[in-house]
Amino acid sequence: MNLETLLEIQAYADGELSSGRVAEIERLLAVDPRAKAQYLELVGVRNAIQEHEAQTVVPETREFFWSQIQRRIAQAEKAAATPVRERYQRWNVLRWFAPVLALAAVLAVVSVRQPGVSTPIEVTTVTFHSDADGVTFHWLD
Amino acid sequence: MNYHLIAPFRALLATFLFVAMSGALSAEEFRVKAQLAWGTNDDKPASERGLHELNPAIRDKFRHLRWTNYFVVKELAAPVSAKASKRLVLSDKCAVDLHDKGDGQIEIGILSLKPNQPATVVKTDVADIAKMRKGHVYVFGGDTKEKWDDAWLVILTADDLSAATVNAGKPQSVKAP
Repeated sequence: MNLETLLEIQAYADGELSSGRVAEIERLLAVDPRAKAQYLELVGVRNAIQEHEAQTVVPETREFFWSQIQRRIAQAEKAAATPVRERYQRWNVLRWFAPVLALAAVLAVVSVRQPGVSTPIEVTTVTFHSDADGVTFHWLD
Repeated sequence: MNYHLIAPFRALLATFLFVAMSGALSAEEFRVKAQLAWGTNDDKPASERGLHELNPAIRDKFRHLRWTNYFVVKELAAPVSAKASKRLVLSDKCAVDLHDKGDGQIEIGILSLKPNQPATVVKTDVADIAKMRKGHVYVFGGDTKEKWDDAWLVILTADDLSAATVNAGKPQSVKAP
């Protein structure tokens, strides 16, 4: 029994064999015990799968589920159809937002900065304070 | 005058008056006088006509320093504001930044100025306005780089300070030997 015959037996078991070949395969199954055994095994496996296959229940309705798939396919097709140049131009506009945002952040920091005297550099000083004399003296080296 | 016409605007008018009065009050900001003084053992040079001697009452507050003469090179006065720092430029090398902290204290910054460079803060201190009104003096000093053994001083006082106020409450000074 060659591979082609095996495939035809499989197609017969699945009900997919062309009508012109059905009679020939049925005759073979009647006379060939090996072909018959192969056929019965295929049918047994098919039945086992059908009986024990885990059922997946989709919470959405069938229409909604397929509409989601349909929409994603449409989006993917649209993205693929968008010219590269157009996509680049979109990013080209967006890329100006980064420096503008950075500048705005700097200006915000500067504007909210409290007026006052800056932090001094390190200079050695000797300080003298006297409430009695009413003086605070800093000597800078 | 029909007062009914202005009735709806009374709140607005009151707000305006409040703001105007606040402005008037803030106009009475505390004024600080900054003096740049030169401490030396030399006599006053004849060529420096702009110099005048430092107020003896202020001079007495740092009587322990060894210089015999203190000449005021420049003096400036300005109101101190909480809104922005006030900078008094006393020379081409020295300036003072003053900022009212709003809590009865003034932040003082002594700045070193150099050509074509940003000003550098070399020393800061916080002065008490109430104390300054009573005559407390804040002094910053250092050696003069140009002339050996001389000193520069930046003296900060209340602007309207009289000599009597400066001396008020101060014990009799004892001359250093």
